[in-house]
Amino acid sequence: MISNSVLSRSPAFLSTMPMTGGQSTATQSTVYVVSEYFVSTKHSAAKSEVDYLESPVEQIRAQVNEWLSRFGSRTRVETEDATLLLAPPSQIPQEYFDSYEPVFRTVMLYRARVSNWSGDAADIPLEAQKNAALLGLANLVLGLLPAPSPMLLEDGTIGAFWRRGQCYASIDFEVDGEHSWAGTDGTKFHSGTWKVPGQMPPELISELLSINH
Amino acid sequence: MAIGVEWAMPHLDDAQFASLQAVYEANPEIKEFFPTLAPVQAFLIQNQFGVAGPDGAVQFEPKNFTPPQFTARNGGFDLQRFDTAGKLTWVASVRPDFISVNCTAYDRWKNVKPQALAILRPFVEAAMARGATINAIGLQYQDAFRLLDGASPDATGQLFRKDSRYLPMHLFEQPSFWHCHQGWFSKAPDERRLLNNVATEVAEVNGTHFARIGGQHRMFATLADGLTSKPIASGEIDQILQCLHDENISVINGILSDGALKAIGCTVGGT
Repeated sequence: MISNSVLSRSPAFLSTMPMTGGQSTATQSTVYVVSEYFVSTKHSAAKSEVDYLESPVEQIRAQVNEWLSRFGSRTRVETEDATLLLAPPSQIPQEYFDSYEPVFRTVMLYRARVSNWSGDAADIPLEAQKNAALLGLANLVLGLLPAPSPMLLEDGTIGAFWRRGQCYASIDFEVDGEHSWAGTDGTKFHSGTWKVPGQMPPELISELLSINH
Repeated sequence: MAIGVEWAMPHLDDAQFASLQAVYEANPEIKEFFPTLAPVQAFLIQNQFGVAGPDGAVQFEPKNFTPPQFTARNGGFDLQRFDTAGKLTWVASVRPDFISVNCTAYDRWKNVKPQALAILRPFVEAAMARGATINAIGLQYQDAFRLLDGASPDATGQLFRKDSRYLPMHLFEQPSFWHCHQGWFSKAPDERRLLNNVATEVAEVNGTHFARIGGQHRMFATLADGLTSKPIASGEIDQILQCLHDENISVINGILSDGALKAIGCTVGGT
């Protein structure tokens, strides 16, 4: 766990983790340590890390921040002429995860059929369709992409869309993980597929970023 | 209100999940109470690109770096009960690290606790028969008050006890939002370690001003020193929950004014 805490300034921490760069003459490599705040997970703080009511988006937030925390001072990048010790980045702002909360909630409500359900417009999503959407959304979160709005297709497939002026993009979260996407800026149209698990296509990333900038 | 039974490591595996699902399928009373079983997927970040070196440090080369991605795995299941308006009133959540029962239709502790225990007991006993051991038992709750005239010293003055041991008095003089989060270990009557976390806040949620108290009390399977093991048997859950509830009532009584206590159906100074 990384946080801004006075505990990080304890003498023991300072003696083992220099706060400025230094040189090692023995290996001829340069080591940089960027200032950081660090709290050991072993510290017996009177703080609970269990939430019996954790939502999917909170679960994702915890995973992402835990993953980010591994970029601590014990993570190294080896290059030809130097070893760079990475300082942990700040945690992703809570507001970013909060922006995804409505779309996650709506997906759960689609499945629970309690969100303004008309009964005729579309099939109730199957469990597999809901899970495909949640996993797709989780990977959008991890890609630090802007939160979309949810949509429900006729056969129960859950999708997501982004709109700004004439710009529009959408993704259909398919059960087989072969998510089709399409986007337009009002003049040109782009489309493709994004296979999950798998890296997000760069064209899709730039499409989404262009809509939101 | 939610009650949780937390498992010690190792957490439940797929075989244990299957045995707990079998408990549900074989128990007509639980099936009637929870008509819906919904599998839950857990998210796991793949591409842990770091490789631990001989000194324990994590190393990687930039050329091998690929962005991380989420994959899904079996995360257990939810048992759900809806009311006639479609509102979720009870949920039992079976997860790798705990089983919890959440009641959103809370009325009185004396009514909710027996129901929660009746739900928990068969699952806890089945999991323990398959090797699971209890790490902690917890009680989690949230009380919320809508501030119709907005956040102000007047509004908070009416809600909170002015001589509260749990809140710094200067907060009541502030013109806008504030929060006060605190946590402490205490010793339960049976000498076990008890963790108390209480978050009190005045905040805006979707344009409405609220005062909220969220709390969690967890009793561990250790003595108060946090080191000496004192295992929790399934037969102790009832007694431990009562202890956690008493702790909760003590805190709530120490934070809310008499009027606010009556508003949430909490007898002043009592249960």
